Amino acid sequence: MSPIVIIIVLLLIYWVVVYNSLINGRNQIRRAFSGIDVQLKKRWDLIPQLVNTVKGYAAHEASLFEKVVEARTNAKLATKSSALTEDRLSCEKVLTEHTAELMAVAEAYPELKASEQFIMLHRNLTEVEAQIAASRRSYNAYVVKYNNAVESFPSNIIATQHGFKVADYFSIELGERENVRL
Amino acid sequence: MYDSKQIYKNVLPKLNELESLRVEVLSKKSKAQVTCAIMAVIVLILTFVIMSSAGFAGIFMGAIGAGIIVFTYHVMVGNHVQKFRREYKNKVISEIARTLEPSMTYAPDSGIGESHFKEIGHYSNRIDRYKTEDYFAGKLGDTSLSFAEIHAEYKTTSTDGKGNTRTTWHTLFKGVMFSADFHKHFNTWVTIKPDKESGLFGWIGTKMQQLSSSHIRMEDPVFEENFKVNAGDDQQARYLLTPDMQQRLLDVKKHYGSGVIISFQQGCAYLTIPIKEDWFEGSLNESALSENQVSRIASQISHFLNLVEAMNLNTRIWTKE
Repeated sequence: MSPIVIIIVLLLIYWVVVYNSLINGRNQIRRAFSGIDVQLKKRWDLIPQLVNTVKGYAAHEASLFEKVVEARTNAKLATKSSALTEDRLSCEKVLTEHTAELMAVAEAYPELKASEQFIMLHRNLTEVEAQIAASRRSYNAYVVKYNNAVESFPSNIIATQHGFKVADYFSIELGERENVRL
Repeated sequence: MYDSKQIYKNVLPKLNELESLRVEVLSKKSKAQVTCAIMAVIVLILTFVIMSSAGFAGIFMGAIGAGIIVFTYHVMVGNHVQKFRREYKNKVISEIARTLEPSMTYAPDSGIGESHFKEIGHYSNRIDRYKTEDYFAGKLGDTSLSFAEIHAEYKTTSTDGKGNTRTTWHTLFKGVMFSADFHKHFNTWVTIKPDKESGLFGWIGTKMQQLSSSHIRMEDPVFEENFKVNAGDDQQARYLLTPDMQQRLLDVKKHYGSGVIISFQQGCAYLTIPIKEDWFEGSLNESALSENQVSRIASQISHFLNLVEAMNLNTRIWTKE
């Protein structure tokens, strides 16, 4: 076998390996994103229960309840685009802020804080937020790996040829509020 | 933090009993040493006498005599030394453990089963000899915990040119295995081992690790320099290894030694902490009334109780209560 043929075969093998690793990287990012999605949906399910529980003790905070419900609706609507869009991220961020506000209000009502239902919801919310934070870190770790392959030489030649683009990081903190204590 | 003066006060009545026993054992030991020394002189003289008349038979007789001396010493002293150590453990160490944490139970002759030690998978080598003792168990706050001393060894056999076989024993692990109920629900496995490959082979070592499909690269560069993480699920591993937990595990490594291996599995955290010396032992050569000895053992037990705080296991803000 002539040296030129050997070089061509080696280049083809390299091409296939890099192409497959890029596909694999992209799929890992999609899978990690779906992990975040699942956790965000869990949080949406918890929020109405939380609002109803807090309402029972702090009915005069109606405007805050409205803001939370509206933020939740907007976040749900933004998922129609399944990608990681700026719009979706900002909706989730607003929801995170309003939920934190709601929890801060709840802190001022000792009876509410002591109620079994609130304790359970608080624990669930804390857990979901910790899961969101973990999913976000996992997603970003895959993005780093994938983007390195897309931007580094010589794999960037193959990436450009096949239309692989740099992926966006999940830059907004959506989970794990500080000092969560019951 | 514990009050060593209070602990000493609690165990003092038992220490008085044990000091009498220790003095008695030491006196028996001195008598046994004198008896054995006289026997050794007699055996030596007999060996020379028999050797001068019957040659090789003298050496044979000398060997038998030496065996009898060892046996005599063991009969006169061995059981009493064992008795002292057992009494010290049953009376003093169990009381120290209870004073440190009232829920603690201590079983000096029990330990962690070999199958359980193998199952957690911190060490992949075969085990040919396994010893375990000093089993502590209890509940600190909301966290159930247990720990015990383990010595696991494997053997290698080599044969020289003359066909002589030589067996060598190697220590696989000597130290304490600690387990505690973890404060979060999870259904994967995560192991955190010292990163030896990157230290030895640098960039190539790191790349070799990444070939493993279960290898997970954490975001904290200091944590990455110190540990290599493998897990069954990336997302759950990050759920357990939060940035705060990574920092805590770095502190654990700093305080408990670089050989510490950590894993999370079956809802629990497991740590194997190598220790060269035998811990949780009363010394015959030190007065039983010694405050230092009591304080040393209290510090050894609290060394492991402190892990609950070091790993923040009593913070129960998640769904696991």
